[in-house]
Parts: sequence; C-alpha cells; structure tokens
Amino acid sequence: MMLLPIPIPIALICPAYLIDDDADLKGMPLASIHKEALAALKKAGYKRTRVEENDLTIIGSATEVDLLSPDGKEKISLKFNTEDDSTVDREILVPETKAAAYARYGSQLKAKFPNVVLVCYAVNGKTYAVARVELSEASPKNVMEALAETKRAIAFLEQTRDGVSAPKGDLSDLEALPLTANQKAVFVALEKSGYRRVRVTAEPNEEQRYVTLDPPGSDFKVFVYVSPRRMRLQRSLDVTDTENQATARTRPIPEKFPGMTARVYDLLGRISITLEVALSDSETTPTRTLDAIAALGRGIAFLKDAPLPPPAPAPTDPVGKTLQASKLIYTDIGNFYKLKFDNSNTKRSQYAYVRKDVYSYNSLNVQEIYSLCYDSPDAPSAALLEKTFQKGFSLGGLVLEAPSETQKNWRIRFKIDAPTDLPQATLKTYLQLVQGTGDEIEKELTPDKGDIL
Amino acid sequence: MILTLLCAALMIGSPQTPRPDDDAAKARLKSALDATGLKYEASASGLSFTLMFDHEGGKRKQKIYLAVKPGTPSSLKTHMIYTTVWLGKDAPPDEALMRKILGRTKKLGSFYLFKDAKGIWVIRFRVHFDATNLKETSASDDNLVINLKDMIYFVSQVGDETDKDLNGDNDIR
Repeated sequence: MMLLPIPIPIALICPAYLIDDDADLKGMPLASIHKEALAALKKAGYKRTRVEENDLTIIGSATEVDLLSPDGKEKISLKFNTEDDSTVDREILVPETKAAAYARYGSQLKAKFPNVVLVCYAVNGKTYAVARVELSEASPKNVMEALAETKRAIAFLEQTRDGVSAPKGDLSDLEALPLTANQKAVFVALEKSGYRRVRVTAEPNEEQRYVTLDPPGSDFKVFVYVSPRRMRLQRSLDVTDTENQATARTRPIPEKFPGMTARVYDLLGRISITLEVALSDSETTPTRTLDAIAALGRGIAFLKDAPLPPPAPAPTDPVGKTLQASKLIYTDIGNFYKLKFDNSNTKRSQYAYVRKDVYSYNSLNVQEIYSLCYDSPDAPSAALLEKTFQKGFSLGGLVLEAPSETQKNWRIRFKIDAPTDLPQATLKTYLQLVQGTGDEIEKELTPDKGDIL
Repeated sequence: MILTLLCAALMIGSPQTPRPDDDAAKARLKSALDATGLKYEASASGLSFTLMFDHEGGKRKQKIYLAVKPGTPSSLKTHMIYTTVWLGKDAPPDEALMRKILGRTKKLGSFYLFKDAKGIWVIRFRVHFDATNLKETSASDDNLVINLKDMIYFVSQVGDETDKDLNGDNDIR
C-alpha cells in the first residue's frame, strides 16, 4: 500500500507577519468609532473570541463581539449598533429562576448602579444575570468606562448572590420587607455581631417573608420570619428518625426551653425538626434576639444529643377511650370496635366500626370510623363503581376493598377520618352519619339482598 | 326521622338552597387560610380557593381546591379539600383503573369520580376539613389552622404521587 503525503494547510506555513489580526472584523457593519473602540480594547489586552453580524437587527446593522478580559477570566459581550444604542454586557451565573433573579437583584442593582440595566435569561436550566450598559456613542472612552461600570456591577451581584452583606448598617437589601423600627435595629445589631444576610425572601404571604442569616463561624443557618406583629427565629435539623421518633425527641423542648416550640415536618419522606422562638415587636431587641438564637443553638444541641427514642407508640386508641366513656354499646373485636344501630324509621340495622389504629401525618392524628355498604364474593361491576364513586359527601368518602388474606369478599366501605381528640358528642354524630350513610348505600346497591350489613 | 335528615345532609347530590350563614363560614375559612400563610387565590367561579404546589423542585405542580361553601352534615360545618389526579376526555376510567385507584387506602381521605358539565371525567382525591369550631378570626398557632395546613399538604402530596403514578410525565394539575 502506497502512503500519500499529507497536504499541509496553507495557513500553517504562512509566516506570522502575514496574519491579519483584524481579519475577523472584515465585512462587519462597524462604524469607524466602533473600530477605534475595538482597537483600544485590543491595546488594553482584551482578546476577541467571536465577531458576528447580528442578522436579526431590524433597524440598521449590528455586530456582536465577545471578549476575554486581559486576565482571561471574564467574558464580555459588546454589541455595536449602527442605528441604535450599543451595549456592553458582563454576566454571571445565579442560582435563582429567571423571575426570581429579577426580583432578587433588580431593585438593588438599580439603586447602586443607575446606569446599569439588569437582564436575566435562562439557558439549559441555568440562569444568567447580565449587567448591561447602553451607549448612545460607543467611543473608546465610553466603552472603557462602561467596562469598568459593569465590572463593579458584577462584583456587587456576586456579593449579593454569595450572601456578602451590604456595608454595615445598610439595610437596602431588606427594603421589600415590612420591618418595624425594632426589627431594623435588630438586623443592624446582628450585622455588627458578624451575622451575614445570605438571602432575603419577600413573597406576598407572611410565611414566605424571611431573612436567612449565616451566623459568624458557623455551618448552619438561622431563619428570621418577619411580620409587623412579631419576629420568629427558626433553626432546623434534619434527622433520620421516623416521624414518631422525631416527635418523641422534641417532646421535652417546651419544658427545657420555655418559649421555644418544636415542629416535625415530613418533607416527602425527609423528616426535619424546626425549633422556633417568637418575639413580639415589643420584645424585639438585639439582646433578646441574640439570646433567642443562642437558645435555639442549645435546643438543636439537645436534639442532637438526645438518645434516639424508641419508636413512639402511636397514641393508643384515644377514640376508643372516648367511646368507652360515651355509654354507647359496643363489642371489642380485636383491631376494631363494632357497634350495632337499629334505625326505627327504616326498620333496618347497620353496623359501624371504629378502627383502633391511629394514623398520623404531621399534626393530624385520626382513627377511621366506617360502615360497610357492599360485601360480596362478586366483584362490583364497572357500572356500579362508576355510579357509586360519583357520590358526593359533605364528610367522608368511599373505599373499595379487594379480597385479601384476611377477608375473601369484595367490599365497599363508607368511612370518616375522625380526629383522635374529638369530643363524645362529635363521636356520636360521626357514628350516626357513618352507619346511616352506609345503610342507605347498601340498600341502593343491593336492594334484593336484604339488610345484611 | 332525625337519622334520615342527618344522612340526607351528608350526601350531596341535589341542589341546595343558599344558607344565610354560608358567608360567615367563608369568612372564617378565609381567615384560617390566611393564618396558614399559604399563598392562595379565589377560583374563577368563586366556588373555591385554589393553591398551587411545586413538587420535585418545581418540575411538577399540583393544584389544590378548597371548597368555599360549607357542607353541613348534622350540626357540623365542613369544607372539602380536593385535587385532580386523572383526566379522561369523554370516557370514564376503565374498570382496571377504577379498581386500582378506588381501592387505594390513604391515612385520610378517599378517591372519587367526577364528571363535569362538559362530559369530562376526572378522578380526584379529597379530604374534609371539619370547620365546625373554627374561630371568626384565626391565628397561625391555632390547632385547626395547623390541621388545615397539614390537610392541604397531605392532599397535595397524595395528589402528586398518584398523578405521577397514573400519568407519568404528563403532569395533571
């Protein structure tokens, strides 16, 4: 096999002095003032990385130029328009969505740099904040000044993004929050004590108005929720406990730390404990705030050191205790209480059941009260399901049960989720509603089978 | 007789005449919802307050409806909290889907079918908030307010999980 010589591109064998450094500008719609500006930038050490004509410009022509700063670390974009303002852009990556970035940086940037316009855009899931200066005359001097202005603006955006506080005593980043005079004094004092404001969230509803603080020399955050009435200070701890274990862990908190509350959150499977101290506006002083933050720290330490409690037994059948005290006649059938109701007006009877298990979700603890309305080895037809499960109820609902190891029939039950702390009178009402509705649906679904359930 | 009245009140199928205290119940509910701190708005029809929740970092959303008009079983006052988990154009869910979903037991609440005036079939998940003892003006640390908030969270969580299970990436709100 014969090897052919590899052709060498002509450009590679040209002497260096023959290369035109400004070849990338040829054919571009640049005015002479733009070329002067680009020459000045080149002299100052800026390196062009892209020059393109922007075909989308409606009036006149435009040339887009990307530059690398002399130290090679920053990208700057210029757009020279022949019939419109030219622009100088610098950008940084920010963690927010586009809308949130506008909300977070817009007013602050405008206050500090009135000549700089904030433009945010999102690409491939990333958001960029652009500091832009618009120039009616893109002369070398104006472009260089715009570069300096955008550099300062980007430094400010970086500080804001990374949570570096404004100069001490400057609360301009908190403008969007409805702070009282006491609360303002607290934020100034906290800043002097080394607390950095990492984030300010100012949504319309009260639950979303808070300041995230980074205490000095710490690896945790303190959340300060503000409203005109009070200031709520919070710290959170993620735990690997079950929800019940976490709840048990927090139980001593109110006694050990008066004025402190603890809540357990099930955040889609992740359990988190939040400790909170609330200060009314009259209590909101720097000293009390710092004391409260210190107390939250002790509370977190207590939670961390507390031995993992055994899985807390769910509250044991509180509705059963209410039932026992109610003088209603029932039978204990293991996992349930069974009650028979004779309805004199319909001359029918119906059973109602109270499940002993307690189901919990955050603050909610319920026990099911139900009555069967369909119980047959035959699966309910699609038409029956369609009709029955369209029924509207002002309390409770229906559940279909397929045959299982413990019961061989298809069933439909009407159930109400009763809060475990319900009083006797409400329990009686719920039982009446459950058995009456169950019986009525039974009669409707199986009119020819008599009164079985 | 009393029992018949109780159960007639529990099942809502027939038109109900407006009650004079519905406005008071709505005001109490609004105060409680305000106290939860959750962001909500009135639906276009005015029949519900609606709340939109982000799931999976905002990739998915779930819209929750809180019925304004109270149910009045017996001497109680209740408000339904619900969300849609499946949507069929003009046909009800097939038998297999009905058995799958209607047989799902959750800690609280239940699934049900609904056909709107345009013939669209949906499967929804609902719980009832017993608002009988709701104060005229609620505070954020009232037990009922905390319960209301958790019920809304629960419906949102079950709603999105079920939606994802039934519809995959086609996010039903």
